[in-house]
Amino acid sequence: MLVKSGRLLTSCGLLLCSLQGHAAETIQLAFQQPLQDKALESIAVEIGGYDVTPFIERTDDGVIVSLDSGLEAGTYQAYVLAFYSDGEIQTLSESQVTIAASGSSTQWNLNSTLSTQVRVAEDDTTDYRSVDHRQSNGALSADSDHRDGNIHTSARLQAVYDNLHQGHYPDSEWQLPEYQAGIAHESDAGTAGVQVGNYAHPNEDLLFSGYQRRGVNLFANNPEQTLKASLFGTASETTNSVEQDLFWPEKQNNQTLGGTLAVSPLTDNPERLTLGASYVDGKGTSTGSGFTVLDDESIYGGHSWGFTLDSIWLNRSLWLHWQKAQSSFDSDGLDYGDGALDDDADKWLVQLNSGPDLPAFGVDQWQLSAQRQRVGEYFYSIANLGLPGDLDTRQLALYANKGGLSLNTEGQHQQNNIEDRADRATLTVRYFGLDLNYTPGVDLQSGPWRYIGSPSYTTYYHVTRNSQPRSDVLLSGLDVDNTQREYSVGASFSHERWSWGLNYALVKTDDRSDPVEQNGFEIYTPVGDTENHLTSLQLSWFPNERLTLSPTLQWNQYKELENDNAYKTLNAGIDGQYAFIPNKLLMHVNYFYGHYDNRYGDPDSLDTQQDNHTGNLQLTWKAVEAKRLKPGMDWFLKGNYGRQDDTIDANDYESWQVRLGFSVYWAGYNEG
Amino acid sequence: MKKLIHTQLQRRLTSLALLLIGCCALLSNAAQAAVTSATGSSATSVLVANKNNNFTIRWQVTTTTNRFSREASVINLASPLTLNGVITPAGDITNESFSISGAQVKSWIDAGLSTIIIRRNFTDLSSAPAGGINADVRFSLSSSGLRATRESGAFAVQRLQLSFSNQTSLAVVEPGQELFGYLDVDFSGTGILEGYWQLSEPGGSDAAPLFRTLKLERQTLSSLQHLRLPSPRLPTGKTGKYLLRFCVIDRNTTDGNAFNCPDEGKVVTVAYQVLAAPLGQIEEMQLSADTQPIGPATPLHWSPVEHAVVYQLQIFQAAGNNAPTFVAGMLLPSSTPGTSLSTLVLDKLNPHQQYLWRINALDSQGRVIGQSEMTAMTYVP
Repeated sequence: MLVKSGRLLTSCGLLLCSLQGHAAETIQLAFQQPLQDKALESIAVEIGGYDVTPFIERTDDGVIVSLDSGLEAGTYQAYVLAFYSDGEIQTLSESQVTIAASGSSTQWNLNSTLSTQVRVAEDDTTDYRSVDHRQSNGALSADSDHRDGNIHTSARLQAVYDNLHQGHYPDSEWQLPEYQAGIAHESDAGTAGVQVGNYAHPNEDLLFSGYQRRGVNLFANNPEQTLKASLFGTASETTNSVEQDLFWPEKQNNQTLGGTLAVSPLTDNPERLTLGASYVDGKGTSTGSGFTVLDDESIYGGHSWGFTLDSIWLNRSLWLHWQKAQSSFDSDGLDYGDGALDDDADKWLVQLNSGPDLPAFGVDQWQLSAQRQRVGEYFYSIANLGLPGDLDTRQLALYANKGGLSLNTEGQHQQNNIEDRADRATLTVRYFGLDLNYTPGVDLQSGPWRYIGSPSYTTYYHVTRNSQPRSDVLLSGLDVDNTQREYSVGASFSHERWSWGLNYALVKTDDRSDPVEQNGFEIYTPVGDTENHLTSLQLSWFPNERLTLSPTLQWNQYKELENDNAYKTLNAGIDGQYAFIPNKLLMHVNYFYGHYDNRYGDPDSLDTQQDNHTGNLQLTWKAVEAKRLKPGMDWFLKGNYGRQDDTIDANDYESWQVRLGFSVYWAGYNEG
Repeated sequence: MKKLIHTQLQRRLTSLALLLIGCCALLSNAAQAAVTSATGSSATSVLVANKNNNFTIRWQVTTTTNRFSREASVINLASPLTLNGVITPAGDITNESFSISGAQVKSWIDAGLSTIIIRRNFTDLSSAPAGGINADVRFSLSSSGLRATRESGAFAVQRLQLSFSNQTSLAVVEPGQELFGYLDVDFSGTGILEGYWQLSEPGGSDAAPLFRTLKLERQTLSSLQHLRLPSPRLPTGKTGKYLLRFCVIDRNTTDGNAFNCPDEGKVVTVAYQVLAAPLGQIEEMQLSADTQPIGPATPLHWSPVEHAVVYQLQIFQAAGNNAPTFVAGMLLPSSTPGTSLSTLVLDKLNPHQQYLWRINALDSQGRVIGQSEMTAMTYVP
């Protein structure tokens, strides 16, 4: 999942890099070889990896390629190929073409909204005295990109304003969740630059995971991307502050420095070997905006470094990965306890998948991977504080698909206490999962599919076994011996006018643990066997351009079979949108109901229930439509209602308010 | 005869008297045992040795009369340790503050303890005889908050992080934009993670936010120490600020009223702001194939984009840990409603391997004015 997140982020980076195109270009390619004297089927032209054949015009001695758009400025390999009727392919021309940069270019876009509203009516029971009846709330999102010769500058900014600071950390009216400014020099020799602001480290490994902080990043790479280096300095904690740590963290105990280097030394086949080195050194708490931690005061710190080796073979059908890392880290708080302790971690992975050099075994595509990750008890990285440690993980996974059927199966074994300490309990988790998905190809114009939509079915079986030696019960304070089995089936249907899905899951836990006593007192009481049933239904209906309705329902029942406790939860609701006058007068309305019911087998325990009701209604009148550079304006009337009825009266409440206000908004981008 | 009847009558009356005395005694004890239930819970589940531990225990005591507890003490030590003294809660629920030094926790760890139990015994009279109902709260011990996920054996959530796909805790999005939240949970031990995704909508997020439950999560923890959960797709239809939170429900430590989001320690909240209008710069396109997997003659289709002069089909492939790299593509005139993969492109694809592809619409300036999602496809000749 983390690897996929990393890939998603790099894909997004790829997306941004691909936004540039180029204006009209005419390229002449002369034949370097004469056409053979036999039946010619077609001539094709490739430039920069793109088949541009639809844009070519034959001449006596070559082709002319007239491109209205589609290729960025740069130098590309161009090929002209002849396809003959007898199957032969002849390269008629191989050359380099250069698409010149059109001097300087600038692109920018900006989107902003500011809403102001006043509370015109409210209930009598909620205390609004400390809350301003007027609220202003808005946001700005902007980015720009400028190229002038070899110099490329870029900037992006997202800012939020709220005079009531709702959901803001730190607690202030303005928040700056994302911003960055960068300048880079791009040439045939490579790219080098500097960025200031939010920096997202691309690696997902033992040292880094989901690491995005404010700071400074220096980077450089060659054109082939076979040499990449970066140096960074960032704040250790996440923040949205507009006043602190804008360019460099002010407190020394909130600073992290690091760098990465990646080299692919085999120029003929760079993927055959890639060597990487990483280093990170910093101090900080384990908290920040978006975090909740039990201890947000202790400061930890140390340095960590690692090496990686990646090798890809067999036409990308075999991937070998190995990483070794070490750290010297103080994980019980600076100036307390142990001081920095040394430890290490390593990971290896072997992944095979179908391709030209490995058989397909009758399926469309398959992938098999085996990996082992071992992290020492005291191995930490300031850029990956959530890394599971004192843990040995082994995993085997297989994925295959054929037609609309895909299979995913995985086995995993985890064990902690890797040094086998006598004063530490050893916990073992074994997991096996089997997931099947089937999306049949159907004719939506005939049969039942006309009415219910295009189907997709899922089912899975997962089993997890947790165990701990009985002799370790006093070391951990509890006994662990249980097996959890999960079964699920689901179906979803997609139609032009609606989509809906139904899913059911059953989780059964077989608890074989025993009570644990210490000094005459029971310090652990087994929960016993449990059963959980979860049913969910989701529907979206859009019968026409004006109306959308989306009901949802989720029903859950959890039973503790030993003590006859039963917990039921029902969440149901409907969300709707209706355009009284399309693009002019719109209504959003929703209502949600939650019912929670706890019933206990022990007659001395009180059964408890709670009902929740929430409703929202918003009427929006688009008074002025936004067009090109002209701002738009909406008037709105909002109402919100909430009620909670509880068997414990202290939790009851009923609250409602009505707000009247307007939004001014402006979105634009350069068009020249 | 008379003497016999008298003796029998005396015996019967004695028995009846004894029976009546027993019933009275029984009724008297029942009146004294008016506390019917007592439980305790705390947002804190781990006590650490590297700092002072200041925490609150929430006692819930149900009684027909009044409430009294002589002391709160750690009971599973060799000698119980009294922490706090007498309390007489006025209502069903009372919060009591505790402070335990890090040095104290360290001494317990050094003594071989991994768990402590704080107990209060609740009765309804200060002079009641021994009895009453015990309310126990368990705490794991660890050398530090950071080490707790690795040291502690009991299931407990140590750290929560809630973010969006750009890894920030506050997102600005356009109306209708697809948005998900991601919850990273660091925990000790093993068990089932239970909690609620909850949302407060614009208008309902002002002043006193009104939250509704989006989804109940009950996740069997098949891996140790870390879990990542995606949220349901988040609504982005209305302009304004939404508040998103995840509330962890720990049935082992709650008072049973597990519906309400805990006040601290086990809830994490972020916000996202929806703008009033889309930028409209890039139109969302749909790229589809008549069949899957993709073959040499499989027809491909995409939704047309106004003012497009060129459609650019791009095919990428990821290898190892590297970002997806460009493999091949096609440039097609705007008059083309669809195509199949050309020979030049097919020549670059490996059979039975997975690729990522998308379609872009470019205007006369080369700007991308339409784009489909990057989706996976498998090529089989």
